Amino acid sequence: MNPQARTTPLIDEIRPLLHRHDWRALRARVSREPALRLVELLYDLAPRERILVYRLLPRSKALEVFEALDVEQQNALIAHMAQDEARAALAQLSPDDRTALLEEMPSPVARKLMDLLPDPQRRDALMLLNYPPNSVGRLMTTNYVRVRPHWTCAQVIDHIRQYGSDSETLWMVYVVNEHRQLLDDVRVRQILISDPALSISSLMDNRFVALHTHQEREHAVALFRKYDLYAIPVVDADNVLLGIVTADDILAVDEQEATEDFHKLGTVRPLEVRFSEASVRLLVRSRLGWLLGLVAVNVFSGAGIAYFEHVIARMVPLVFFMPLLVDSGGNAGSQSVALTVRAMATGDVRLRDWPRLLLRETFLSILLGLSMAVVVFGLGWYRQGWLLGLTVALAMLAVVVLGSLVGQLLPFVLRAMGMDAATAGSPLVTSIVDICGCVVYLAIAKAIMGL
Amino acid sequence: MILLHLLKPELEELIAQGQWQTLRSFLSTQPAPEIAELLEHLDQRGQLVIFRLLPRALASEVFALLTPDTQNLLVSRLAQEEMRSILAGLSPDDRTALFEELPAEVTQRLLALLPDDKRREALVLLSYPEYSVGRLMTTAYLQIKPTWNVARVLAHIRAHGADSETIMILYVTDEQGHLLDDVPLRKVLLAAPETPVSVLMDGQYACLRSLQDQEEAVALFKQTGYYALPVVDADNVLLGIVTVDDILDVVEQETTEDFQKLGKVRPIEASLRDVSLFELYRKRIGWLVGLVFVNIFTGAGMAIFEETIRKVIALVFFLPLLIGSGGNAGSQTTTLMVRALAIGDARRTTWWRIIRREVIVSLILGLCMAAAVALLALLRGGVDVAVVVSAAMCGVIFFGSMTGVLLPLILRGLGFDPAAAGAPLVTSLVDIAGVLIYFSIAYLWFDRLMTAVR
Repeated sequence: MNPQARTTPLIDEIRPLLHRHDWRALRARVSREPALRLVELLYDLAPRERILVYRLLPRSKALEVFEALDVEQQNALIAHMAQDEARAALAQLSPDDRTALLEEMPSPVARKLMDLLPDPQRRDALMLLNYPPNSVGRLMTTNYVRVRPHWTCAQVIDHIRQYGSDSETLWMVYVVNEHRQLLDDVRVRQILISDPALSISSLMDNRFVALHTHQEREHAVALFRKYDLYAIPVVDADNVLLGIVTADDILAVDEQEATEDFHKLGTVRPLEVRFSEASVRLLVRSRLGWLLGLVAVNVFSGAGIAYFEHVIARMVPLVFFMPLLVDSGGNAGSQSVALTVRAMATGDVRLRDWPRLLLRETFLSILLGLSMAVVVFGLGWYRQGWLLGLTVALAMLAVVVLGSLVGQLLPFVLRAMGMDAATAGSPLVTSIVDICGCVVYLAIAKAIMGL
Repeated sequence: MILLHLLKPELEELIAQGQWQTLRSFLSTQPAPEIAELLEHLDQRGQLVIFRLLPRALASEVFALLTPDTQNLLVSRLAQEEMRSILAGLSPDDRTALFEELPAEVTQRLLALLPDDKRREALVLLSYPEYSVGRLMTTAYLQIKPTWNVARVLAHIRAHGADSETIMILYVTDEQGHLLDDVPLRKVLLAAPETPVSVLMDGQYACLRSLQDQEEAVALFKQTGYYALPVVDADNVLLGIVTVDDILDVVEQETTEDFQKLGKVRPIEASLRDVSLFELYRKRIGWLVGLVFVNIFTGAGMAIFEETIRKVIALVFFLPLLIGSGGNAGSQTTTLMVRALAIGDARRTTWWRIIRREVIVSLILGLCMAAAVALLALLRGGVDVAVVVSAAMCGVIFFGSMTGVLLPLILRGLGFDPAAAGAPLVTSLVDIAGVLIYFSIAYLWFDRLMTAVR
């Protein structure tokens, strides 16, 4: 008999998979094993492999394994998760693999992790729980008070005296059942003004708002706005209370998200650091992309203008109005992009509103275009006569309508395709107006002035 | 949202059938924001019916969350008695917000419905200037005295805590109402009942002035991370508190305003979904037409170079590109600067560093762009055009970027709003300068240099 096969058969199968970084096969292999063998396996592995293999387990299996450990071993596993090594091990996974392979941690593990680790370490460990970078899970803190429904108000106040010293937010206490599933929130105010002998359950109204760990943090911002709250509890897939998100963190998140949107609209790729501290290299990298993009667009707009070369040669004053026309179209477009992108970000405008807004924008842009046309007609007349005036006026109407409509529609199209409405908004509008504007202008000139 | 999307047909049916009891008991279990959202999507009759069914406390809560239009409608339809109870149930800051939005004569009528003390309070809150901290204040907070002991404080909370918006922090004042300190409720609960309040005080607190700008309040909230801050007058007398939920709304409004200004739209106060066509027209036409007048200069500038253009028509092919690139570089830096100024990132001490850094960044960007456009110009216009176009590109990018950085700083230095005038001014300046730079270089190259060589 092969002695190696007898001692550690599973680990021999696992090792090559680990070395090949074949996470999918590894996950499939370990998923089939009973929990007790997995416990053995985990202890045979080197510490940095241990967390990796554990995290690859499906949620139910991870729970079984965790429960098969004794309390000491459980605590050791949790403590281990907070170490740099463990994070480095998980960093080997590509972002796609992370989403596909790492399931949410079983509630008891997440719970212990939140409770056991001190604050700075917990922040790091939250990453290990694989909450996506912009998720509510990453914002959680544990400075809150949990109570049980059968406690009396007096008991709760005693409990706060004993455990509430870290909780800045003595605003709500959260009522949970024996599995720590969230049942309700009750205001501390209400507890203080109620009869001390009254039980918490009699104060419960079962109306509460909660966030889920995997929800986008933007969603949290919206919820805070809508409900005028100071803190919102966070639960996992099993409705187990893991932490809270507080309004001051939301204020910071909101600022970040708005700054990102600003930068995108200003055709700067979001910086991720403060502008005053950004390096020259970072600034060049985040700005060069869209600038060069416009050069690429010029391949087309330049060709368009070149096609009308003879028209320009015969009537050079046409050129004087080119910057104005291109700019006006671009300005009208960026007006509607800015309005729409912001209204989408605050939830004022939704996807289904597009037909109404487009209709309004059509009338509006014709109105704006006509006003602009009147002004520019005078300017053209003054410079070269009424024929040029008419040409420039018509082109202005066309360009303003085109810019406005593209600017109105584009954020909706991008959003519908699942893309960020702010990302491509204004540069795309500028480019489209750039190409079409000049060609339309010169084509009108050719037709009207017979050049 | 669930209520709105899943149950709206059922609710409408219940309204049609007149099942008031069922509706009432169902609605009273729903959170106020959900009901408010539902109301916004019902017809007028439905709105009125549903609103009347709500229990009194819930009705006030829902009312505070409605849009001004719906509030206005309800005010005009509800009987005086109903209105009286709703107004009484609103917190003072929500009441101020309501009176701000309503037409003046409606506000007058509603004020008359309030009991004397609440009317006085509302009038005081309304007397603060718009966008001042005073307008955000609520008077529902708990004041305690340094001589009290903890037991007395707890008794005070039991007696008066129900009306106050937050009891997480208690405010200590002297006999004349001067703010002495803030004490977190946690400290009170942790202390023995006979401990005097003065022992719990540490004399360290942050506070706002009633006439301060709301933006400064936002900054202080961010800095302290508190849920509520006390507001005092010039003599340090406590006037009220501001809570973080109102600050979130202020931030949203101010950010939206900045977006609109950068998009060259004058700030729109209503929701974009509902704002009227003519309102939008008024807010947008200004800068659009303004730019036409800038073109008088741009056009005149170009007219000087008419001869050069006639000689080398290929120069025109790159005109939109150069103008566009300068404008883009300018709007990039304007955006970065305006946002950095808005969130307090770019302080005066860093201005000089930012400017020096921008010189380097814009030169690098200009050179990269010049290289890219040189290739294109070589193909379409030959070597001479390529030289002129790439030199102009470098100049335009540099000018655009620097204008975008400097102008917001200058505007801020002079005490103007960098967002409002920044974006359009940068566009205009870069427009004129771009044309002049481009054709000056072309003139020098084609007319002077070539003649000289010949």
